Amino acid sequence: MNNCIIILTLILLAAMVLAGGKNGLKSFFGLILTLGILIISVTLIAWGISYLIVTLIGALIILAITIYFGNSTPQNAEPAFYAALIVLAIMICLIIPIEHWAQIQGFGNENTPELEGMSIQIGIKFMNVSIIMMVLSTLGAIAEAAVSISSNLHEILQQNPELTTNQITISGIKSGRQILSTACNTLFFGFFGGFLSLFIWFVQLNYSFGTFLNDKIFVAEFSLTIISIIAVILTIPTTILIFNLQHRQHKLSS
Amino acid sequence: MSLKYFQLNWKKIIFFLVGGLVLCLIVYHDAELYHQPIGEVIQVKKLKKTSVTDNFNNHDVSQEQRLKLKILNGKNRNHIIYLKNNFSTSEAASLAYHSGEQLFLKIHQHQSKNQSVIITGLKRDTMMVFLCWLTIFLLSIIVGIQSYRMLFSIILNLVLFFLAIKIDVITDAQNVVFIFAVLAIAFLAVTEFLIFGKGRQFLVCFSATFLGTGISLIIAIAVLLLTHENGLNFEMMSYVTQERLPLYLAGCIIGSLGAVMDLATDITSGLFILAEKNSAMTFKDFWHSGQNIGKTVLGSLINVLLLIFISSVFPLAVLFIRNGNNWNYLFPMLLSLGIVQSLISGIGIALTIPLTSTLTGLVLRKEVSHE
Repeated sequence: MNNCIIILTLILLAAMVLAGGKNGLKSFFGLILTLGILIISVTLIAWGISYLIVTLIGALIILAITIYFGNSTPQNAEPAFYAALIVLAIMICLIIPIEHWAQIQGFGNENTPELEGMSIQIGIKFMNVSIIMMVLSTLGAIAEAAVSISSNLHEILQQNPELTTNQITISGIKSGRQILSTACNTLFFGFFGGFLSLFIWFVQLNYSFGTFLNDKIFVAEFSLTIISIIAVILTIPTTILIFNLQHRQHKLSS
Repeated sequence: MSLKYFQLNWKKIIFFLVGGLVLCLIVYHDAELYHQPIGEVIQVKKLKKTSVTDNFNNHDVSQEQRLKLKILNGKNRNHIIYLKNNFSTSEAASLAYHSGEQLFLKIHQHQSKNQSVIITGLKRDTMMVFLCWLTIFLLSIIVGIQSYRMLFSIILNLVLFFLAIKIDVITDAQNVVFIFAVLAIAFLAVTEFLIFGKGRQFLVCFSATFLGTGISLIIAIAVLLLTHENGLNFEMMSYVTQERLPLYLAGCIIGSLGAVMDLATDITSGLFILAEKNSAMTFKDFWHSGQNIGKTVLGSLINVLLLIFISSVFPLAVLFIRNGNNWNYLFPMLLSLGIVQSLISGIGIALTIPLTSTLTGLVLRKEVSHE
């Protein structure tokens, strides 16, 4: 019991139960499962399994866990899940050409100390590793936005069941705006925090603006953030569209 | 769903498309702005390939290419030079270059006529500008004018961030945690002020985020001290030039701040709207409604950070695994930092839900009893 990871995990569990009750407990197990999927995915990639297959299956499972584990009502989760899948497909199509253009795979000069004594000619294309890394790190943001919009819409519809498709769309965009600005905060600060030491390094070495703007590691981090934000933006109309389609179907069938 | 709900019209789209194209073209041809010589690859010739096998039986192909470069700026402008570049198919620390790419060069002029040229990096600014353009384009057609306030908030925060780093570097990292704690408070004040303006909602949000992040930080420090950081491995912390633990904690504060802020904002605005409709809300009602708003996003918010923190070690993890290491070694070595950071952030995020509900309850109840 002297391992800080175990103790912090127990504290997190207690805090999540305090904050969300049974839902908090479920979300906690969702997080552990997500971590497990990430570890399995990276191992499979290292074994040389095709990155596209690993990305697709890994992403599918992570989205399902995040969306269904945190949510008690399937009416909220279902449109969110379908919308997230569509956005995931669009993002994969966007990320692959961007990675080829940016050439940010592998390691930068700044990583040299960590690579010491290791064989780096390992026969695994780091381009593919970069792609799966980028796809997986957008998933959280996509899932969060999709769930928030669909549960907002659901709530609005419950209060006022006679809303037309037009009105649903308008309120969806309205709540989408709010969700976007909060999502941007989460993402930006998340990346600031994750790469604080890199930024300090840059400033210490007096990197010029130009060096900064073209540095492999900085470009890699920056594009991760920006791509996640683009994913959130695309999630807004997609979720509204799916929600409306489903709503119409329900109306017709009843 | 028709497109008319979005801020969509042809004039705007054409304006953006043409603008984006022009912008990218300008940046692609901005070599004159750099002091460093830049060469454009105009021809690539593949040379010999060699198969390599390392100690761990990894097969790779080492390849040589001959690049024909045209210098774009400086005193060697328009000179044609030839360069050899070595890369492996895995491209871990080397890159294959392609026609049309622009490279930063270092040219050493020797006393004799020959010169040696090395490639120091790839010019990626066009790609960066393209990504920014794409984001702003999508923002303005899908979300519309209100997004500019958000951009303003991000830019303001960026400025603050670099200011704090500058101070940290100038003071030689004497008070890392203090500097970044102050920075976090400044971030918080600026962002919340831009959302709520001055008022009670601002006050509630500010205090809830402050307390949530603060308490999680205190818990983190206490646990790390008690366990003597057992299980946490700082050896593989990247890019470190200063003392590790304070830097790491500062990263934890900043990293979780955005998520905590968002959650506090959501709950506060939700509860204030509820209280407006129903003035007879008791303390218990506030607690339950806050929990209801918070619990749906709790898991997914922590997940966002977990995915960011963990997937950033993917390249190193692949490299370690192929170098004959197993997860018994990798887990503490590579993952412990990201996991503990996610745990600390998660605790902050979770605690914010009851904190915000309690604070809103206190503020709004007081109001009633005053009247």
